[in-house]
Amino acid sequence: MLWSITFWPAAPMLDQALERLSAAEPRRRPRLMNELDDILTPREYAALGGRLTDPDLIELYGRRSVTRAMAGQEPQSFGRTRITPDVLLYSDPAHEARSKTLLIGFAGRLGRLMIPNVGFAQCLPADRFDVLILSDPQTRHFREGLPGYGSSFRSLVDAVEREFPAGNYRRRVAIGASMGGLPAVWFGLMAGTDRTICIGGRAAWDVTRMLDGDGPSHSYDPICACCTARHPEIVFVYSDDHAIDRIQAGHFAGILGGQTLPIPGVKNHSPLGHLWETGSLPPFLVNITQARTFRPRWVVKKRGGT
Amino acid sequence: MTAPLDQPAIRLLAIEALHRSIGLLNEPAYARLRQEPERDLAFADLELDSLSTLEVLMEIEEAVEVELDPELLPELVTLNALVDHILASRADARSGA
Repeated sequence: MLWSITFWPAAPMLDQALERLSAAEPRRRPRLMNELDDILTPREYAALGGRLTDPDLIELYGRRSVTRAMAGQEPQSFGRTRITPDVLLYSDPAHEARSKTLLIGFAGRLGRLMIPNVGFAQCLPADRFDVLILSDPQTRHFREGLPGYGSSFRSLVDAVEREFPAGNYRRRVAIGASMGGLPAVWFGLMAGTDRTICIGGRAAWDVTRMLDGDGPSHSYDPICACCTARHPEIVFVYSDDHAIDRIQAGHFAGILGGQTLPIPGVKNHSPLGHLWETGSLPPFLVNITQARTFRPRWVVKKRGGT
Repeated sequence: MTAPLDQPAIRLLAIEALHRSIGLLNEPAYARLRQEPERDLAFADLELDSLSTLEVLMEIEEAVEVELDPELLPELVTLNALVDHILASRADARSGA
């Protein structure tokens, strides 16, 4: 039983979006557009462009990364279900779950997997994938659960397991970015996903939180040498020219025996952003989530090699 | 009309806006920015992508009540340079310039 489900019919959502965009001060419109990026489905985003009449909004829409990335493409047919305030499901009910892969996404600090949710959804064929995106706006690395999904990471895992059990899908893959990278790994270890992908994962550094009186309530981390759980194939993806991310990926892979996958030529913290902007993200995601034996085109360094 | 704020107050608002948007103070290298006013921060070191840059910019704008031109950002290479720019913009706004 889902905790609560709110279906967001496309037309009222677009009406609301247009109303808010039109009423907003010009300098606040880019941020509103950013918020919509993480809510709208690909079809809604495409429809939004067709309904704009304000020349400034048309100009803003036209120069956005999402608009450029979707240009000339048929929007994917995902519908949207807001399961809890922080848990969003993109799924096309016309296609059976049993024939699809469920991506269980742990978002980074901005509530995304490094790129806008609508852009991420557009990269995946809706007849083959469902996408669940969990966000932790309190930026506690999901360790305190999420409203409606319990108050610990264990309870969050249990809630996802109840709503999206492995038997319902052909395949389940955990994927997390930045702050959500290690939670995806924890989820993979605890729930037993078919694959786990950690992108630019960062360990929590809690000193500032503790000084601010907001420290974590517990310190257990399943990523340690004493973890004997059967774990799936884990891939640590990182920007090859980002020193901190490279070191962290090597460290995690060294502990867990996962693969590391450097994305060459990327200096910032967002390898997915780079792949998206260069049009490489759709084949990358399909390959990394589906291939039985993952052998990317890039050099794969195993067992903690950096 | 913007209320007067001094350099340390603006700096603190900007740091907290950076913390809200990208968790700046949870990075060991930047954790002491609040406590050590003489410390500066080069934005290039944050290696932000374009989306994160926009989020950071808007979070700072809301905190300090000044509109920041994204085109100016490449010139404002450090936190202290940004703070000086914000101080000047707020002074201009108060004087009606």
